[in-house]
Amino acid sequence: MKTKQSRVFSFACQVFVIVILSLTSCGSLSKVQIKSVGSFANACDSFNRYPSLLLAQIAQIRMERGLFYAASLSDPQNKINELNSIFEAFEQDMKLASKCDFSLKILKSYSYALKVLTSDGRWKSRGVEFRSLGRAIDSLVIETNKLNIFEEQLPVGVAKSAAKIVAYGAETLLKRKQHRLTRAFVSEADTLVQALVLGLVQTLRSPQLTALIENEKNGLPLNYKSFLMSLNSSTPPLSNTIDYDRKYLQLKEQCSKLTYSRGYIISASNRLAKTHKELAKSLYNKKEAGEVFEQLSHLIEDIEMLQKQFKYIVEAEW
Amino acid sequence: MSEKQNTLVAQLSEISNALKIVEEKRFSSTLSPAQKRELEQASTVLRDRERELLAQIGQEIAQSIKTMGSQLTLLSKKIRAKTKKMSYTTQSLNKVKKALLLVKKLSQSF
Repeated sequence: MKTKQSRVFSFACQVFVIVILSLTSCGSLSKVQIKSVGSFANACDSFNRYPSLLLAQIAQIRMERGLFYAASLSDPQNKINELNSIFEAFEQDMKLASKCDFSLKILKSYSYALKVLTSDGRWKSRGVEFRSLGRAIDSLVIETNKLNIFEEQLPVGVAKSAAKIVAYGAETLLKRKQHRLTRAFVSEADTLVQALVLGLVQTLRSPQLTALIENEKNGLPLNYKSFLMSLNSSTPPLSNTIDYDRKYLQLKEQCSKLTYSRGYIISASNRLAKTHKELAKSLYNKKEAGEVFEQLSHLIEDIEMLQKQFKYIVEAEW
Repeated sequence: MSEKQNTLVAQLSEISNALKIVEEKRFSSTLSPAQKRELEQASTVLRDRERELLAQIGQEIAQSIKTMGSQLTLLSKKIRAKTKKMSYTTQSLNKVKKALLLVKKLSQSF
């Protein structure tokens, strides 16, 4: 009787394992594919705040050149009014700048959701719980046997073995579900990510932003000239302006960097969209995983370039 | 670019040119003190207008960024909801395990 039971149990286990293995083979993502999703999510995390930093940089230059202009005014009341207006405008500009990270915040939230979805913990924890449940049942069986409630001793170890098989099955099924969801979500998100990045790039390339940058480039020498002319008309004229000249050159350098910074953000944003497209494609075709990693390495290079470009602004903020 | 945006950019360019002219004249040695005061006043009025236009253009930029991405936000919420749902079984298994351990503890006390 006991032999027959164990045969049935063994057969059931074999069938279960075959079913699980057949399920695993179809529809699962490889480790490389899952890793590429994680790497993309990490790259998205590093790609943040740059549009707002660009606008913050413009605001800082505007404030500094405004100070040159204010110093050129002779009437004290005009000077105070100008300084107050500069202060208010700077505050408003910085608030506005922070709003420009909206699209990147959304991307970040999406990448975080992807990271959580693809983490090993999702399916590993299920297996751990089943195994632990099997052990709990077995220890309960041992305790029950000690109490001699039943005529025959209950078999020990069956629950533990069964739980191991069930845990493996649960892990496999959950992993498969996780992979199916990842594939579906990344595909669904691709059109949205492309549209989001396209919108961001269009805004960055817009004539309005060009106008803001050009206005600072033209306004800086004009305001500095007014400042120098006001110094000349003062009595006695201030001859040594080396410190102001140095400040002017620093601002001029920042002005010329604005266009490059904008270009770097556009380039990295386009790269991000392209990488996501490759990622979505690679989840359906294991052969294309290599292409994703190539795009990812370019994306990381672009992001590093951005970090370098904006390093001094981030440092200045802290 | 909309007509409004076009107008803002064109106005900014006009103000910038006007400021250039006023600033050139403001420090001329041939001007009387009253004329200097008037030009300084005119210059500050132009600067105020420049600031207004810059703020409006900045708002247009922020607005155009904000209108994008609402669909991706919804998708992110959907992903999070699915992920949460996936952990429900683990939670219920944990409860069963706790119940079994409690029974074991009780049986040990006999």
